Amino acid sequence: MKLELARYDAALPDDVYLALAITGGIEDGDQRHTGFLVRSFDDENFLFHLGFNNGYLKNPLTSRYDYLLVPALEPETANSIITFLVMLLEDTGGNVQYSIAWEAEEYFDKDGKLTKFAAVDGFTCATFVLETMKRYGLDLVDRETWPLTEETATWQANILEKLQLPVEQYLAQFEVLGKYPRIKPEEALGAAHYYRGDLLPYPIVLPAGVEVVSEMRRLKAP
Amino acid sequence: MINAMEIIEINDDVQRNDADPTWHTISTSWLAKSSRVSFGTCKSYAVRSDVSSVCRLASGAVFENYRSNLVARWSNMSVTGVDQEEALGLLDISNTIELLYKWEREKKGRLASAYAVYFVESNFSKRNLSAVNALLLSASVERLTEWSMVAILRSSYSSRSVLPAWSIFLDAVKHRLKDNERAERLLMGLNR
Repeated sequence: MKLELARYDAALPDDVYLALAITGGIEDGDQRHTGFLVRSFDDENFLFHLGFNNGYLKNPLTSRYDYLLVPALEPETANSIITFLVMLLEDTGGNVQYSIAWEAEEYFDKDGKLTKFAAVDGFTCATFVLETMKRYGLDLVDRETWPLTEETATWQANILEKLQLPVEQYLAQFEVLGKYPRIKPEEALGAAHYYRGDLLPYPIVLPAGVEVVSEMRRLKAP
Repeated sequence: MINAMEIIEINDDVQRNDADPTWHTISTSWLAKSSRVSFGTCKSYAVRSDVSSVCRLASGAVFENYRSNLVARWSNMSVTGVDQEEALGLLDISNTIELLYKWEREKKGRLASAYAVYFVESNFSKRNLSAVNALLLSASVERLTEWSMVAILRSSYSSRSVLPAWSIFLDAVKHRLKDNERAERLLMGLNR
């Protein structure tokens, strides 16, 4: 199946209640943002996403977003994840930390705690999507294959300055600049598209992310 | 009709202002979660109950309003023939399983799926893994559909290594779905 995005106002198929949404610039190096598109039973589309530190939000989907249908999200799987997203919002009140750290270990641990929250812990918008899907058995990417690059360290330093984190979180994350790989929002969507049950390595996901941005570009063209 | 956010505020007020521990609101358990899950509107009530741990409450009139909305939104099904026990909060194992069977039998799989996730996640939050294991051990896949089976497996997936019954339940589901053309996609990723 070809990777194809749809504009925010394109109707979801009848039996689809969950997809991945993306927004942002369409040039190389632009910042982008992702989250879950959830369709309500009133046929309203909402975005469940990590917008900022302690900013796990449910917002109406706006015209800035495109979305991707995910082959692995059968309705039964989607319904389970939607329930989880809603419960997480209720349980946390939206207080989900943002962090540049992308840990190998599971974010939702085996003791039943939903999240682990040391000062260095948390998610980017992309790792929030990935870890939520992983929590429900859809482990998309092989994190160990992601490179540590200078570009990533620069991005981490820049985003850290913009996050307005509490001092403890800021210092904890400042110490790990450049020590964690970064998965980009478009790569999360690309991985979701090509996922067939096995972990996807970086060399597969990188071009998939490029495809996603190319699709964003296509949809923005006049 | 009021929206889900208002439900929480109203019920929080009720709880804060009433020192009587026998007062419960539906919101603290199933209704609030369900109404949010449905992202829609439904009615909210504070209900007096003599049961301390769960909201085993619901006068017929109260519940009639609640569940009609909930069931209609979740499963797009007729609202007739639904009993008031569906207003209960976090149930014990046997009642949970019977409720799942009932909803599945009535073709309200989406509702059963949501409750299954709610049951597992709520017990995780209470660190009550034994309840989740008991669900995996006791639920008969012959009486469930893909909705509940997938919900139970996926919501408990992250703790599978400490849930002895998880792999047993997975094997039973695989057997049950052996002729289902969607089986591979339904169970995608669960073999890891």
